[in-house]
Amino acid sequence: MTTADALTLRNLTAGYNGIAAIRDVDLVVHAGELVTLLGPNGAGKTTTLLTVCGVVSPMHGEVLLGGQRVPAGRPHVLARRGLGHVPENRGLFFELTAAQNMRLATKSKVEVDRVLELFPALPALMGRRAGVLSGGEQQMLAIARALARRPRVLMVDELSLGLAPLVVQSLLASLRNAVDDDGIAVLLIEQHIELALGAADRAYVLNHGRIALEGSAESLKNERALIESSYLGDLDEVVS
Amino acid sequence: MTAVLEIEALTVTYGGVRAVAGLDLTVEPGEIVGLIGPNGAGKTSAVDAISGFTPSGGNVRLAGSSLNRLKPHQRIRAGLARSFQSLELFDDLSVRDNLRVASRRLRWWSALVDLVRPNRGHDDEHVDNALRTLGLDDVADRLPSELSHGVRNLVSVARAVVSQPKVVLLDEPGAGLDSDETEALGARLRRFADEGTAILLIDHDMGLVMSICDRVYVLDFGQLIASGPTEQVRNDPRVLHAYLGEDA
Amino acid sequence: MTYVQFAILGLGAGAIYAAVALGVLLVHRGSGVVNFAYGAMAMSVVYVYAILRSDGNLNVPIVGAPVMHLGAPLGFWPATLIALAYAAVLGFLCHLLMSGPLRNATTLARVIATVGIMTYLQATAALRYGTLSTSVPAAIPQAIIEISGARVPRDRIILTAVVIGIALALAALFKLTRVGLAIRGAAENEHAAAYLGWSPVRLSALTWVGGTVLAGVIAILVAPITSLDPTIFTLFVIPALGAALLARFRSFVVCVAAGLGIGMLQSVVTKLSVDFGFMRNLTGLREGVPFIVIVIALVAVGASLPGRGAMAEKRPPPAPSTVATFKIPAIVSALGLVAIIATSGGWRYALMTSMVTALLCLSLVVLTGFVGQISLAQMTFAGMGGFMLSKFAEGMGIPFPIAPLLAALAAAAVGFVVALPALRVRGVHLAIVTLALAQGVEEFVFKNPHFSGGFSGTHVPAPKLFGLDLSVNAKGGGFRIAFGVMVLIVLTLVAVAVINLRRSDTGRAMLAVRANERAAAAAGISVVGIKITAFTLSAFIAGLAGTLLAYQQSGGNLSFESFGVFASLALLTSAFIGGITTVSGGIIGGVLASGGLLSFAATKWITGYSRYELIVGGLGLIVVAIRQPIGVAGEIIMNLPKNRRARRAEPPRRTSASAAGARPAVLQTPELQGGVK
Ligand SMILES: Nc1ncnc2c1ncn2[C@@H]1O[C@H](COP(=O)(O)OP(=O)(O)OP(=O)(O)O)[C@@H](O)[C@H]1O
Ligand SMILES: Nc1ncnc2c1ncn2[C@@H]1O[C@H](COP(=O)(O)OP(=O)(O)OP(=O)(O)O)[C@@H](O)[C@H]1O
Ligand SMILES: [Mg+2]
Ligand SMILES: [Mg+2]
Repeated sequence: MTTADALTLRNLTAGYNGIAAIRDVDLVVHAGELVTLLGPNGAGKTTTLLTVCGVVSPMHGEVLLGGQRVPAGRPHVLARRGLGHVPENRGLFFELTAAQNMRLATKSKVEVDRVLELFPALPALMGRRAGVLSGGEQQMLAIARALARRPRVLMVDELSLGLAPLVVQSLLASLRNAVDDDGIAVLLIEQHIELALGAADRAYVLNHGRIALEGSAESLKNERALIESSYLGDLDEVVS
Repeated sequence: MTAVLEIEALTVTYGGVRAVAGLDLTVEPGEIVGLIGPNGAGKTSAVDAISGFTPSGGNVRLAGSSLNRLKPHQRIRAGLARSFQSLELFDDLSVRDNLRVASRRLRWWSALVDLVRPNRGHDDEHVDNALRTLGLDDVADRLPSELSHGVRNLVSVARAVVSQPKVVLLDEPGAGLDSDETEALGARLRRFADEGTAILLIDHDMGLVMSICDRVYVLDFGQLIASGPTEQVRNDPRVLHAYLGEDA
Repeated sequence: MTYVQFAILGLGAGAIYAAVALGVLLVHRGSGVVNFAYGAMAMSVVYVYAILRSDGNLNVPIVGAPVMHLGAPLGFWPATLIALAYAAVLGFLCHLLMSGPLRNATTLARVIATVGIMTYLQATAALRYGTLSTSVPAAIPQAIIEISGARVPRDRIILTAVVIGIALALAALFKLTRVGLAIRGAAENEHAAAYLGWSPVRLSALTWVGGTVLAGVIAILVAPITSLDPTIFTLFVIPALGAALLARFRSFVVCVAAGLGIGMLQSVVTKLSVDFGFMRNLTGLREGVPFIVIVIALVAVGASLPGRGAMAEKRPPPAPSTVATFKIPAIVSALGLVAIIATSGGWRYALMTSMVTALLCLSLVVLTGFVGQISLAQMTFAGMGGFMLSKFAEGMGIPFPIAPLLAALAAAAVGFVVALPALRVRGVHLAIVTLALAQGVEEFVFKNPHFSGGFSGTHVPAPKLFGLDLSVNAKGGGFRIAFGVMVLIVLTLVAVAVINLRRSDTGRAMLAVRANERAAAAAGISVVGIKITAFTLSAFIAGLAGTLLAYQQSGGNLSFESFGVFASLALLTSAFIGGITTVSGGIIGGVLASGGLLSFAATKWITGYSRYELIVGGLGLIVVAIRQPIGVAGEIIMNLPKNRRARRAEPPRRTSASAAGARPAVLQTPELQGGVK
């Protein structure tokens, strides 16, 4: 394996109460690459990310971060090894102000100022309690907080959730820059297929807990029909 | 037709922050009206104010009668319904019970009668209908915490419509739905509207908003910057600049 | 002396309240738990310290642990260091419990676990150190100084200064340092803290160890002023909780100010009652007044619905809907009937106690189990029922079935009043408000000789129906079957009513309020109405139980001592162990309660059990809190054959949305829904 594999999922099976929600998932994100994980609702995308960061423990298979196996159930160790995660529920500390939320991510004021430049709306809100921010403001804060740690691998669950179209466009562009300039690896869950494919290098489509389709974003853009049928879940595919 | 929901000079302030500044808005029966705008523009605050969850200035009238002095649950009983951007499902009730709770009207004596005769002659027709219409039959007996985000979103929509309201305020019902689900949701909302419900729809999915809304209001910094038929708003330069992006 | 001087005198008690309040607040910040054991933990540290100073022995509160003799009595510093080391270990053990087995437990379970720790520490202390009060050598100079004419011991002033210093330091820690912020963050969202690289386990260890060491420091400073016995500090915990509550469990500085204020207010009230004769009869004024202030202040600032982004409570314990048929209640009542007839003497009495306690537990099932309102005023409602029964039956001569029903209605009225603050205060905060109210009623009403007969108690005439004697004591000694049957009938009726409630619309609305008040309002539910209903109903049931208790207790002599705050706390724990969300749990709670069947059996069969009853009880609480959020009843329900099967079965998988709508119906084939065959 090359060191360029920032994140590798091998044969990963995981779920809740002994019932698998994802099965035999193989997935790789290289350093300097933006990969998007697509799939219909309930496909198992969130479960995949939660398994990677050790909140859901795998029933089978393994996760490698920077080539090393990751311990289950210790998300903070992973975070220190360079994994950033914006969870589906955003994981903000509602009782703390936006500024305090940022401070918990990093000591460095420079880093905070750097990421705040990506979100022109945020600086004015830093004194407010995170709990009272609007849905989109919370999403921006969560992403900013994860970026401020300069993760080597960043996972974002539903990037565009609650964000205005303008913000999504500029955010995708900034993520693209971070990938190209700093060589970080990004794994993105996104429901807007066009947007996601427009920014990504490669894509996986998950359905019924299995990888139904994978390929370069470029090639998939021209294969909308293929994606749609993978969303519906080809009968053969699932039963086999 | 006359408007079933009339909002006049609605104002919401939190401490020093003026989130909604004098919003005028109407929704007619059978109409789907969009409310869009940048993040933090005050859309959720407007919904909170209309449904009584946050103190506000101005007038809110439902089917001709004023809601100004009513508490949230009284406004709901008067025929308003809403969903939450943060979903706010009842986490320890099954999906079906989430809907049942919203479909029943308790009287002050209900508790006393319930001690002796629970389940008196109720049918769950509306609940079953809502579950079926939103495709939630299969998950009816599961807890919301076991569902994926998209499905939880649909549960929150189902809970809002199950009480057969005159007006529904939906706060980003399309967030996190995949493209098929979004399309299906659009069709369902259209059907609710055709049956006479008035819908105020907040969403950032322009595909959804532009395809099903009859009219759209655009809010920025708490103030209307545009309103009118969907087509017209879509090409309004101020809206493009503030919200959609010039190349949209 | 002037009022100002009295106020300054009050600084002494105030500093103690403030100090304890700070510790409680610190632990709450870091773990979200109101630590009822805080006083007991401080007490045990001070015992270790005091024994080191007096005998040079290291005697830790573990049953059976050897006493280590360290030579001659130790001086201040070595004794303090060893005692604080012990405090650190104790805090660490609590941390292991909270972030290990109780990590995902409900808030209620964690609070109950602290009650378990409290019971354990107090009982062990009584066993190992005796219950006599001892004095502790002073740690700070005690010379008297004069401030504006008031002669105040110097240690009070120093203590006040120390406490203010600690508060400022803690405030700075939690506002300004990253670790402090991380502790607050992790208490709210552990995963999110971990995603940012903070170890939740380490943060928890830090708070518990820090909090316990702080408790030790405070206790070593305070104990010389108050003298030491196993229940010391439990007395201070109540006003301290009040102070913490006034600070809304947020601000350390407000918390200290409130603690000092309460102490000063109490002192001033004492002076008032000396100056104004009519107040002399209000015996409870000193203890009672601060609570009235607290409750009013809290209610004034509370909001009737939580605002946007209010911190959500951790998930409450599940409330499984109970059996749909009435087979089980019928069988259980039949068994109860057989048991009443088959038993005699102490057994029969214990059975009656169990049944009455089960009734009390059911009152909590409605209020805490269904609506999530933690109440520490249940025994107050019961007491109201009992004393009003005496008033109605003895005082006004109202005949049997009417008098107890009226008394229960009177209790319900009190429940209605207690519900009013609950409309604006929630969660653990509410628990403390109910505690304050209970304390207030106890001080003003129950202890008032005009109302309750004071220490000599009050009399309740024997119940008679159509010439049938239903009183508890039979003529030739022993206990009457008729009384047992009456209790059984009441219990059965109430149990069936509560089962009905759970299955009804009102029951579901209650669960909805418990889950999310904002969403409940958006579903058209009057949150206020539901809370008032629950409080009133619960108080009615408790009041009913109170009248039975009055009939049962020593043949009709009722004393206020059975209805205090700690009795309410004990009841809450029994109900919790049994299972606070189900009717069966309530019944089991009655069986397990102190004085009930289980404890009677244990006392009878295990020699020396009574000595260890409290210790066993404390440990039992912790074990149940760990194992089963829905108590013993939950354990049984989960292991019913049908539920075992249900758990193993694969839940249905939701197919794509289009399956239900316009798209091809092929997708609904069973193969797909069940996943891969
Ligand atoms: N805590 C849980 N307990 C049991 N089942 C769960 C739990 N969380 C998720 N599931 C189930 O696992 C499956 C995958 O869910 P997941 O949240 O990973 O989907 P997703 O792809 O993220 O969907 P969405 O786009 O709607 O967020 C779903 O069928 C869901 O019902
Ligand atoms: N309690 C509060 N205190 C202070 N500011 C608040 C409070 N509640 C909301 N705000 C602010 O009011 C503004 C409007 O918020 P609102 O939630 O209405 O926005 P929105 O239009 O719904 O945005 P989004 O699309 O991101 O959901 C935001 O800037 C928010 O931070
Ligand atoms: Mg998801
Ligand atoms: Mg919003």
